[in-house]
Amino acid sequence: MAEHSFNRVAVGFGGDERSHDALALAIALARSASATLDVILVLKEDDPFNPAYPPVGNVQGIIAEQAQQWIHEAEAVIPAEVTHHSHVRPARSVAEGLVAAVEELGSDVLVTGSGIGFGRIMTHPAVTALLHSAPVPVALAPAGYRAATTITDVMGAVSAAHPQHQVAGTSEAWAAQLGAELSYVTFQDGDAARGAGTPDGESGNSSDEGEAGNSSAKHIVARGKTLRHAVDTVDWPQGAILLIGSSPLARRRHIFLGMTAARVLSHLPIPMVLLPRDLESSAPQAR
Amino acid sequence: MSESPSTSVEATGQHAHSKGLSIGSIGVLGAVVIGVSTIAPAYTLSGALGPTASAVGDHLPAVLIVGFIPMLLVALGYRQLNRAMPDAGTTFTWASKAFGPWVGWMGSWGLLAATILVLSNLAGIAVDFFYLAISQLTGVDSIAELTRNVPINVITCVIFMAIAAYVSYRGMETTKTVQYVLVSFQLVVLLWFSIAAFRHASVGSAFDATAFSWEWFNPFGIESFSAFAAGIALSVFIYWGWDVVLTMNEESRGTTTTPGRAAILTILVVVSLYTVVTLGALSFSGVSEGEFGLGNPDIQENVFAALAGPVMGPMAILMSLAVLSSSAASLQSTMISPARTMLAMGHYGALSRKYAQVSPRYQTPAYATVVAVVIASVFYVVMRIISENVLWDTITTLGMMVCFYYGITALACVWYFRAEATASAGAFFNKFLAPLVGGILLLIFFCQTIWDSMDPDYGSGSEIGGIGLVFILGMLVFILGIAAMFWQYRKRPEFFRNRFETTEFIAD
Repeated sequence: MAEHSFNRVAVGFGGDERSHDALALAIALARSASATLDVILVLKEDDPFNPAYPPVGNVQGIIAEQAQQWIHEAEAVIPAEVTHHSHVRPARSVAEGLVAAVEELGSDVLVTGSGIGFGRIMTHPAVTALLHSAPVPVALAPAGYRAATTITDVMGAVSAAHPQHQVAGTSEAWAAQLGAELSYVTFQDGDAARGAGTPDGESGNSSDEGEAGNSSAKHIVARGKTLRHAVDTVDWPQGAILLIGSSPLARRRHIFLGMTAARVLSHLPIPMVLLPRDLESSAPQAR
Repeated sequence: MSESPSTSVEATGQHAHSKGLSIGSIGVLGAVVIGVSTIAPAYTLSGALGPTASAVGDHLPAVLIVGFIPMLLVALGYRQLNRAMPDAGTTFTWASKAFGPWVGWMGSWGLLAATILVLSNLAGIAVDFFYLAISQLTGVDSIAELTRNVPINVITCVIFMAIAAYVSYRGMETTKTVQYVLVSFQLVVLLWFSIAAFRHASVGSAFDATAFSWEWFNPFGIESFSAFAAGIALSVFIYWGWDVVLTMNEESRGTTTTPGRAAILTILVVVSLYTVVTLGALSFSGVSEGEFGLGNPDIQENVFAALAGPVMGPMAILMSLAVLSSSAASLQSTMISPARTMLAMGHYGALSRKYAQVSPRYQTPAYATVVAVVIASVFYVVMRIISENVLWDTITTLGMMVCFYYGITALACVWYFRAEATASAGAFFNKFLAPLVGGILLLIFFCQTIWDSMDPDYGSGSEIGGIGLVFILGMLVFILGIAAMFWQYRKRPEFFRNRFETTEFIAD
């Protein structure tokens, strides 16, 4: 399963609070996987079709200097045992710059902050763009994420209909490399939840062994009136990450945040990793 | 992967050299679109045509053409400085480097004052056309009059500026497509206006059909040097922003013909557009003080608002939309300018360190943006309350400020390159002669305008205690500037004591 493992964790960093959330998650991932950490700071370039009026000189140099300070702030936080590199990349947009950097560096996962979780929705346009176009898994740190220094649990979100989805395999591989506990989560809301005969709002945790690939993994079924309730029923471990697949709208090997994932995301208290479509393809694809 | 923890910050060294607008992918057409959009012809003409006509009468076309010359000469110097020192703050860094921190500070103050003035003027014009457009769309005439209501006008204006500041803080940008659409729309509407005006003049339905005369193009026919200076100061404002084409082109490596062509084409487009529109307006309205005459003080601060209806008929709504979109786009790009100047000043210690704050989230000068919009709003509110002709007076003061800081910048170029100027004929012209002549001319016009503006009848005729409001405004700007400079000197003298250092690149 070597193809699922990751050696390089990239984190988009910008010096704001959300960037520090992302950095905390990236450090946790890199440390647990013994991977190299790449701190990427994208310097926004001016769009020539949007010049300042009246023309003033370019402030890129000043902002680049400020960016160096932010990079130093990030480096001060990274523990000594994590191998890291810092990169300042000029690009037209943050999303564009991050995608170019992860492609060039061969990153296995891109971590960003987002201000999501706890009922919040993401606001940064760069994150929105990434969630609909990135070519690598994107890990989103919830607002205020600092706690875990190691990843203790890898949870794969699988649907009841297709427990053998690519997420299952990827989760297994990640859990193995991160040395974390593996479990699966299935979300059921509304009619589906009632149809299953469980009272609303009560979590129906059951260990349906063998259903989703790994035989020893716990399988949690989260049921609720709405997805929000379903998410709330689960007792999310502090050091856990949730892996979730892309919408079928995604291009191959790219990610696209689906409706369910988006709704889960906005109430999830732990980091979520959105996987590109067919990262692990059941129909073999030339890489 | 057994490397020890290390840091490799690539691209920064190289990045410093690739500053500026990378326009490798921008052809001549794109550059012209950028140039025209920066000048914002629909807004500029609407705001400045009246005041210029009141200064020089029917010699309007002459002044518009002649007024371009000092602008061009200065822009040539600008281009050289931009190549040697592409730093932020332009006038600030360049003048500080050439003449020391005190002159640099004041030059930069002139630039700041000008951008704050244009910001409030833009927003003011946008408010007029906002209500005019709504009234034209709904057919309710009284809505257009709302702009005369001071509280409503002031509140709307402040809201517009707040929106522009927010957009600028978020670093949102208008896209290439939007710029192409905006620019073509402006061109089409302005040409439509001119053709309609000519038609009215030829069929005799014009307000004050004035027969074309070559005398309109004769700058020596202008009654006095004062009037000429005032006209030039205004036309410098009218062309303000054109130099973006020159500085932008520095980055188009390998395509040495694109820059020159784009600059020349932009000049041709803009000068011919201005000439056609002024000829149209003159033929239709004349320069009398009648209802739609260009000499009528009531319509001067916003001529298209008054003339579009009689000239274009029901299609006048297009003119409202053109000016509105043009001033909205300019409002957004104008918000960037003072914020960046203050960012640079804060960065080099000429202003409090707070101004150098960059928003980590959007990489924009957050503090400076807020300060710029607050000053512009306060200025507009005060002016709107004390003067009925706020837009007119700000335009005139603006012309003065632009002359001042352009003049200083041009002379900074001469001084900075004094040793290299004799290297070749080209260098002599671009680095010495052109900026020297341009700079001296602009400073002469500046002094003349200052002197004349003491007369209470100057410009719109607003006065306080028998002294022209434009003079008071101008003096206030300079006194505040000097006071702020000394305050800064007391608080943070390092900037004024140290030799000003900035990143420099030797022209290759």
